[in-house]
Amino acid sequence: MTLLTAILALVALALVFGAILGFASIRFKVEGNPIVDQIDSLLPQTQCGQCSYPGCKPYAEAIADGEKINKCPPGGENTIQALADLLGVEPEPLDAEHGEESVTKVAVIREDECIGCTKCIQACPVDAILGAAKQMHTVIASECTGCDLCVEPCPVDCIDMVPVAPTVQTWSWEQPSTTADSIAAKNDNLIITDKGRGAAA
Amino acid sequence: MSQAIKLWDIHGGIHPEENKSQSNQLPISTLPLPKKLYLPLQQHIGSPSELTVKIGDKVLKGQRLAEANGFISASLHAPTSGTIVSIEERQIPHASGLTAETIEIETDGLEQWCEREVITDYLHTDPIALLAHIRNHGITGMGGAGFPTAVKLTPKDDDHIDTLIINGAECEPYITSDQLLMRERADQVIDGISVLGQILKPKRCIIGVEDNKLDAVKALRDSIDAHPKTLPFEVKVAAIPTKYPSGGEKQLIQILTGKEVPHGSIPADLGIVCQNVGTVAAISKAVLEGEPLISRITTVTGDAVSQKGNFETLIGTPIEDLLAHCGVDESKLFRLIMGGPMMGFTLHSTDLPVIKTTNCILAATEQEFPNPAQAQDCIRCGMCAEACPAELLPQQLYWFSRSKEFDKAKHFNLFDCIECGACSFVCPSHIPLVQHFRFAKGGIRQEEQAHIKSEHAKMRFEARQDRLAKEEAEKEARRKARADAAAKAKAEKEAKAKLAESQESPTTNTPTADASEGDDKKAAIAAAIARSKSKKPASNETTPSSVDIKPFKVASSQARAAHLQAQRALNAAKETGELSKEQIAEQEANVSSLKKAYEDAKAKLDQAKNGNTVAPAQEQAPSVDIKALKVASSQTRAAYLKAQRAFDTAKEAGELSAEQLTEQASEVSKLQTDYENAKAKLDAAKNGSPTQTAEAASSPTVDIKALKVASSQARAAYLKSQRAYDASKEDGSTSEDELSAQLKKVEALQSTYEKAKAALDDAKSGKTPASNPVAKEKASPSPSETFENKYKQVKVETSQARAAAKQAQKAVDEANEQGKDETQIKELETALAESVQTYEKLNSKKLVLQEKVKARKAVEASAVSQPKESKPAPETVAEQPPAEDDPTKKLKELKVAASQSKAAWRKLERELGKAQEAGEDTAELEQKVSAAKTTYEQANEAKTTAMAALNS
Repeated sequence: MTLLTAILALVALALVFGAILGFASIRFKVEGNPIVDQIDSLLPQTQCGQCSYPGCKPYAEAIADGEKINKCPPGGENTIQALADLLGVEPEPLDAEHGEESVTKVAVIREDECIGCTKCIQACPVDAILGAAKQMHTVIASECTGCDLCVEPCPVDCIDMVPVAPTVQTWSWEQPSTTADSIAAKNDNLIITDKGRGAAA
Repeated sequence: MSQAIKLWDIHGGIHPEENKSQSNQLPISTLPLPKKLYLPLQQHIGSPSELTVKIGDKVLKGQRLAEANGFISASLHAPTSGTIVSIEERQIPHASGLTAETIEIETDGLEQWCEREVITDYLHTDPIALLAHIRNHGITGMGGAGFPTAVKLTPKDDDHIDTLIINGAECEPYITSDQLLMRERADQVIDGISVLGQILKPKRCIIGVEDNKLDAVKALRDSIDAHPKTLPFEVKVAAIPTKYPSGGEKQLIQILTGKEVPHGSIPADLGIVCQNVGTVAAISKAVLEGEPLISRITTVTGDAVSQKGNFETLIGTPIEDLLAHCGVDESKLFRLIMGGPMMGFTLHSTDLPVIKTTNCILAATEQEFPNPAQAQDCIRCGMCAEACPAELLPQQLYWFSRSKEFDKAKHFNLFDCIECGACSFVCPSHIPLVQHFRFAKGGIRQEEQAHIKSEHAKMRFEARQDRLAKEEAEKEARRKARADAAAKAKAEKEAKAKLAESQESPTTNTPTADASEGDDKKAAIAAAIARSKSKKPASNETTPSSVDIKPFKVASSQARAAHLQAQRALNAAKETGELSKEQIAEQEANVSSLKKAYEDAKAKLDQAKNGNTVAPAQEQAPSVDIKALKVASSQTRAAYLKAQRAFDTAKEAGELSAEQLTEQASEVSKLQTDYENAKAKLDAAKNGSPTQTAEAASSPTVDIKALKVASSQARAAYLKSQRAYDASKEDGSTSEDELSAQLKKVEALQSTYEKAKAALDDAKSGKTPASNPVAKEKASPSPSETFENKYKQVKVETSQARAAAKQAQKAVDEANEQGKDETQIKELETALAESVQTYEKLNSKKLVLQEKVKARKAVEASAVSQPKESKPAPETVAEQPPAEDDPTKKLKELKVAASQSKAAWRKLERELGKAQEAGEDTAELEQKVSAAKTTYEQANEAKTTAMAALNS
């Protein structure tokens, strides 16, 4: 008798909780995979396709499905590190097959050579190229992500990828070298020296 | 007077050797006027100033050169009178060693002032006016960072400032500029405090001075006593214990008030504003003397200079001049530092100007500032944490910065680090901790920037995706609508045909305007169908003529019926006089168009009856079309003019209300667009047909041209081979067999040339080239050219047809938008379907021709390239378009050709490079590259000559 009560009680409990869980899974259903958005926000959004996916979002989805995290050259080591932290996996070196990490670049059209074919405009994923058919085109430098996609379609090869030079506003200090031989060469950064500062009090 | 002020202590801090006595012995002296001054546009934190002068301008002392650009920015003024020689990128005194836009002034030695604006009665001046004055006079913080002072003095709405702190601590070793200022110009400082008091209305003011400058403390106290009237609040001078970095803003506030500025806030949030003594003196100068920030006191010290001291230096003075004045010993100069030894930075050149924040130039010998010792590993001694005035954990921050774990560094409050260098100073392992922190801060800022940028890029990318999807959907919708319309029209037509078949006589309709309009449309459709049917040759030719005639009959009878009905309706309307003039005109137009349609249909019927089914009809079709279009155009024009006239009269008479007028106006404009559309169509049709006829006419001349080209080519080939033969003969190196072979070749080429010439002459003298087989054979380029011409014509036609189709589409859309009658819309839609059909036909034709032209060209190219071993001439000739063309057009074409060939060449070169890298066989590629290069060079040459010709 007690055995039966116990079983009944457990079954009743199981049903109640099952119903609650079932309801909750419908009522509080999460649309889409939230991890995809988190991954997507870590990617550099150049939409360059070097990872072999047609944009950053698709790659984010692929990563969420188990794709490797080292296929994004524009993001480089920092992005890999951030992704590894987010996903709790070991960071891997950048897959050289998809390109190498390089300095930030911006596309520049040599305007006297442009024939106004609009091919680069169609290729630009962020609408950073201005122009019309048979009119000279130009790149809005502040909108350019340096994705390189406009270079290939150009029939007259008049687009250059120019590294962005640091300005006084964007410049920042280099990392001090920690190796022995370069310390003297890198001493520009170092102002205070033992002699100059005097004896510590 | 001043009673003892309660002081607090700060955490950590260090006591470096002061080294101030070298430079604070002599009074402030003035530097002789330099010949040139260099003024970077950015000497402050914030955005660079905006130029207000240009090269060649004469400027007066104190004249504004650049004005503040944005809220956080400062103006820049001419330190003396002179001429602006250049405005260019020059290296600026900045830790990065980067260049920035710099104004170069050649001084004239006159020191001629511009008009100065002085506020003597500042105690009764609006604080906002005072702030504007300070802003206009380019005052920035003189302590080191160079933050625009006016911004710092503009508190947020909810901040009430109760304490004003004046920073005279000057805790960095070596620097004595503030000390000298306080000692010699205490009155200026006190006046400045008085001005600040008027702006901020504080309850009290404390001047913090380290107790190693008691002379300055005394001077200030005396000056305060002498200014009782202008200081409506309590002003005290606090002599604080000497300790680095007590001169840091947050540290000084803590020492003087015991309050710590929380993470992420500014002193103003605590009701405190802190200003450097130098800044305060500059404010006093600006307000009381009207002198903008054009000079400052700079300490020049270090063992490499003989005359150490403080100098009143004009902003922009080259450091070279300053050092020369102080007797620099170049051989002893080991390191040149701007700022103090703790927070300054090394300069790499003396060719840099003094700027607003240059409080010290330190020309040190190697003995004073030897190269730093090699950094050792961190031993976790914790001395850095003890020394840190911001109570951070430098060793933790060091690990995070070194391994670029910026998130964690941020979490450990990296941004509260004031970069004072106390941790580096005490580190027994000589680790450059501050440099690591600066790097980490920069890295974090860059990451933030990158994140902002990537968010922006994402937004734009998504916007673009949305736009493309929308465009695609719209296109799809339009396509569907068009397909539906076409299907509907077809179904209707079939139904009509059946109806007509079943009853011989046309159905009797009520003679209303609506019905006639409907019929009009139907008739038009029928006529159009009839036309399109007559255009289809292949299917009709094989079928018996009786089948052909039936639809024509039907169409004709329908058109006739429609016409008669409309005529009747019109007459009735005229009789009753019910309708307005415009309406009648419209109806009349309708009737005449119906008549026209009927006549067309009848004509076609007759043609069909006569048995000349297809070919003539096809030929006639365009002209018929043109006629119809002409009629339509003139009709719409007439209607439009009439409507316009009616509208004008109505307007003049003033009979109609405003609403009616606008209604009429809209109708008029509608008619106008209709007319214009019709006209455009007509023009397109006109252009379409004459080209066809012109084609035939132009072909003989084309042939002649082609023959000429061929002949000259042959001649060139002949001459070349002749020359080659002669050369080899003279040479004597080639064998006899070879010589004879060459001779044969020469002879063959000669005959070829002669034949070509004969053919050309024939053609010129009127003989058809076809009758001469030799000429035909030799004039191989000519067919391709005629093909090309045809192709071009078809291309033109196609684009015209496309334009017509587009116009029709536009008309339909407009009609839809304007809410016109359904019948009208349908009419337009049929027209559209028709034009689309024409376009498609033409397009297919075009494609076929294109293929043909290509094939022909390929054949030709192979034919040309084989016999010529020594003549690249024909190709270049062929590449150049005929000279009769419009020169600019030609030039453009040449340009395009040149850049395309260039691109091809470059691509090949890149490929070659890759292949070479990969270690593949590159001989073939190299050949290709050189060939592409020559092509490009030729094209380029052609381009340049054309350009020169055009220019001359």
